[in-house]
Amino acid sequence: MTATEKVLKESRREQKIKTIHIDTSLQIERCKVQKKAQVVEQRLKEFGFKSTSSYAKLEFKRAWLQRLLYLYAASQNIDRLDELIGYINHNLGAHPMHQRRLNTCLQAIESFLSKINESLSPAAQLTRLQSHIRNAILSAYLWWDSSITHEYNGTGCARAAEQPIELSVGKIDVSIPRCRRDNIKCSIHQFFEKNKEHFNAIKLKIEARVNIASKELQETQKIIEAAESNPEYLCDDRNCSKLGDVLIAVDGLGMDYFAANNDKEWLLLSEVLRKPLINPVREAKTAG
Amino acid sequence: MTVRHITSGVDEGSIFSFNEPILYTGTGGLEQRSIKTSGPSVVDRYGPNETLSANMEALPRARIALAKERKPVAGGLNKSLLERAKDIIDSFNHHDVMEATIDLESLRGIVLQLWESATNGTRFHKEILATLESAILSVESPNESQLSVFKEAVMDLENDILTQAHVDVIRGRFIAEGFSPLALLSEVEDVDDGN
Repeated sequence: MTATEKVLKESRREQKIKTIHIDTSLQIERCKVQKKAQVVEQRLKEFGFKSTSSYAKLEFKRAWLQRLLYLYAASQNIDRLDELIGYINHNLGAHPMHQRRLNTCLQAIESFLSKINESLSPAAQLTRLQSHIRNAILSAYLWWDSSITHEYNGTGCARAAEQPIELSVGKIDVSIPRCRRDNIKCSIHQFFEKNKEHFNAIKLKIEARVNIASKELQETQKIIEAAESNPEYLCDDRNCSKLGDVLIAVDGLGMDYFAANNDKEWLLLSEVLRKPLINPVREAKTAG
Repeated sequence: MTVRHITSGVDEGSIFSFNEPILYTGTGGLEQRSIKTSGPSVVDRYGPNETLSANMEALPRARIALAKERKPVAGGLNKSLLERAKDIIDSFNHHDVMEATIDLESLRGIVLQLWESATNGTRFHKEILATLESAILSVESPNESQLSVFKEAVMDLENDILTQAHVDVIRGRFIAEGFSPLALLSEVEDVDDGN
């Protein structure tokens, strides 16, 4: 338990502060334009202490910041903005999943930037897009850290701690080097040992609901099984990355509530770990 | 008031160069924001920014064709547009929905137009401009405190010389006012677990 976590425990005892642990999916909602983010912020207002996990930050970095960086780098190889989709399709045609995700991401950015309907020269359009993407990447960790009260780091994830940096030549480094069992840089194996009863309970629950459990959870079950034989199995990023939601959830065991916008995994996790789940996005949709 | 040394980050693209460390004096309020050097001040050495003689008051707010005129530039950015942006922010009426909408649209148009001159600007100017634009595209009705950060950003953009510290400070100010630098992902729906 870190010093902050000890202080938290004391202050909660004295003041009855309500605490909540937030998943990556909801952090993404929180970083949207104010109208959309407000739906989440209003719901989380009653919680005096908001935490997340360093592993959530790693997921955020892998999915969104790396995607943005690809777009930024690609934009430096074209002369006009309208060539960007063609560039992505040409270079990632053999990787439809990446291609689709990048196109979705680019469409979202274009939609955001086209709120004001005026024409710009091709050079200005390109500069504008590049500057926005660059700014988003380089400010992301600052926003992330300011959006929460505390970040749990039970796994000691070294990759999550590596924030995007601007190299002297102007390039941005958002790489996530591979982690291997012969070069362990984190404490995920110790984290697993320490919390093995919770991991086991999750595994058993998935087994009991194998027919209705999501594909991700079924994969999770196999990873937990392998880690039970040898926890260092998790010190390979190809394995730990398949355990993302579970790691984030177990990291936040000390909190009163869980919050996520990803019911298909988090309903089960919340049930096993006995935390009420709050999904402000679902609640808002249900309310109409 | 915190005073910290800036030891790096002066843009290579700047037309000026200097070796003395710069002292940045706090972020507490608009009046406190200034840059001091250990030797003669930047203003002393390079002269004050020239201001426009054009009577901006006479221009309609929504008029953003100003960029096409040849005007002095600040770090590459069109000064008349910056001046106009400041005027709009100063007179922004957030108590009247219709006026606020008109003001915000004008501001959005001016900031958009600034990108034409930003193509030749330094990367620090571009990053602050992006921060400002992201915020004004994210908000529907800015409050007074948010407007004051908008003005800070515009005032930063008027400087010929900006440093990484300017960018870092203004980013922090926008985030503190509830603006997310990742608002450009707002239309993304497949949030799931991020993978």
